[in-house]
Amino acid sequence: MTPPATTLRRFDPGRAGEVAALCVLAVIVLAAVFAPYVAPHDPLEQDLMNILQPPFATAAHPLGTDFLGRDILSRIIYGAQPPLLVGAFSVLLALVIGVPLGILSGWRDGWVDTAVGRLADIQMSIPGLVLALLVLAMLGKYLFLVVLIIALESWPLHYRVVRAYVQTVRGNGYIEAAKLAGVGPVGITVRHLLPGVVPLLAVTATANVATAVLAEAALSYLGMGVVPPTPDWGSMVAEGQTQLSGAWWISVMPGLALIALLLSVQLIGNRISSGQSLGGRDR
Amino acid sequence: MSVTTKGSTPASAGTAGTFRSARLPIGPRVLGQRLLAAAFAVWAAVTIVFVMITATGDPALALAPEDASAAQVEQIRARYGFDQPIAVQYVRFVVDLATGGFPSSLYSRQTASEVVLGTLPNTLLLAGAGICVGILLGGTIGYLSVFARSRLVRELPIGALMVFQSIPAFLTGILLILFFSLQLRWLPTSGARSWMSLILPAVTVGLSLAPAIARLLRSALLEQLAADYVNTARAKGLSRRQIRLRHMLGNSLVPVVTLVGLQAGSLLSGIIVVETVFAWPGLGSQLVKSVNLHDYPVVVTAVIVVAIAYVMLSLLVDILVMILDPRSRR
Repeated sequence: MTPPATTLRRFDPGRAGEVAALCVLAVIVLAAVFAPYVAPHDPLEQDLMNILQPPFATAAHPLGTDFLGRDILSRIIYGAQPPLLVGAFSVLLALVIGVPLGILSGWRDGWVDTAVGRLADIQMSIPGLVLALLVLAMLGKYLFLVVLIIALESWPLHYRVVRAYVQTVRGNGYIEAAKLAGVGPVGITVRHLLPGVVPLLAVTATANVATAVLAEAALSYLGMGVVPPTPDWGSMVAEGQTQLSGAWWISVMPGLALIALLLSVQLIGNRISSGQSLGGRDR
Repeated sequence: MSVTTKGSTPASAGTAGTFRSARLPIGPRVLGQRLLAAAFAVWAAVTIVFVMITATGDPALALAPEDASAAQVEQIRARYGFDQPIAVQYVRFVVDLATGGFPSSLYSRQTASEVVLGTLPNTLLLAGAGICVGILLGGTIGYLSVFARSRLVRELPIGALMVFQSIPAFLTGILLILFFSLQLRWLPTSGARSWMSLILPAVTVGLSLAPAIARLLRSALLEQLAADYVNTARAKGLSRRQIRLRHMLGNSLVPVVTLVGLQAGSLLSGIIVVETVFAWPGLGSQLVKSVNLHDYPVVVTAVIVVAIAYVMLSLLVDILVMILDPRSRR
């Protein structure tokens, strides 16, 4: 009768796509972690005899070289580190801020709930990228600032989900029973609330990883994140843009890597959220 | 179970309350509340910026050119009152912003607000064109994904569009430049010399907006396929086209408009990036340029103008939703 509740399931490219996404993600993460062992060249090593070599031309530089003769493949492998670091740590930080606040303000209506809710609203009054530009302009371009800003931008996502969940279960019998049995607030949180929250957080966290990687790439592209010559996908795309007509591969290759990472995170996220019957809706 | 009540809309108003003012167009009280909330948001943005400036070191140093002498910095400190107590500074900051008395740009003869406001028309043009492209593209593909006759047309375009959800706007822009400007040589790569220059940036903005619109329209339309009013309309003998276009599409508009409002923040961020990609002379590329030049007066003014634009856009969408959906008027 009613059409399927999760519209996503209909465009799922199937299990094969998900497995492929997991593999791509694993390859990118492993390459970034073991970059010194995997990369064929030093990412900063200039080879001025071999500048602007097209991809797939020589075995020494499979993805070509840039205008300083640096090996694109090696730079892509090293350049995966900043987005992955920012993705992991900013989401971790956002969870550390959002989850306790969500539990606290979901547990009881009161001034904490009001105050944190208002704080989350204020947070929303400046778009994230603009806030990031302001902070990085004031304090300087540091990677930990990028992490901090993205975390500050995204904690309300986790906060809202956790708060809504705690509000719905706080009156349930098993919570009452735990209270009567003398379990303290910490015990109830750890034993009875967190287990229910974790699956929801899996959904919000994967969505958050994608937005965090996207934000880092955009900032680096604008020259606000990782400072050259340190390899980073976003800044590599920007560096190559001036050479686009003659040497498209300088921009396009790291761009493709970025797309591969984001696509695989999105596919995995879709899978998790359709498993949670939370998917299909835009949050 | 997902038996959502018919009355639930994702509108910002939250849970549906009583329907007391349902017959009024937009109650003055509701409008007043929204305006008050918007004013609060603007105030919050201004305050955030002020806190950021004062908490992160010496604002006089930040406002001064990088090679300013100690005496010059002292002069700026006295001129803009940074030697005053913090409360006085705050009031001055707000007054300066409101009256345009903010320090002039360090790199041009114009004041900061003149520089920023001068770029605003270009940005509004790009934003408007981008939103139009996004709604047209997303709307068409979302509509086709439900009603097209062949399975291929139902599934292929929306599947392809979903890929763009994972492509950052600056990459979309660069790929478009590569293909349409450098390969085919149809459109200019950057700048704003003619209307041709607007096409690629607008398409880039539209492509970043379209996937979410298509997806939401699709699920909204699917939800209504079996709705009672559709059956009624069919029983009355209305044509399929009439039912689809006038009844179902109309009812699906509210979540889509709401979505555009919810995406206002990422839309503005996207526009900043897209302007930089195409060297479009708007607010966003000015902001990025000024950040790189450490031209703080312009940066601060631009950030606040973006925040105000953001609030206005959300307000506009709220009002539009209230017009489209009487239930959200409360």
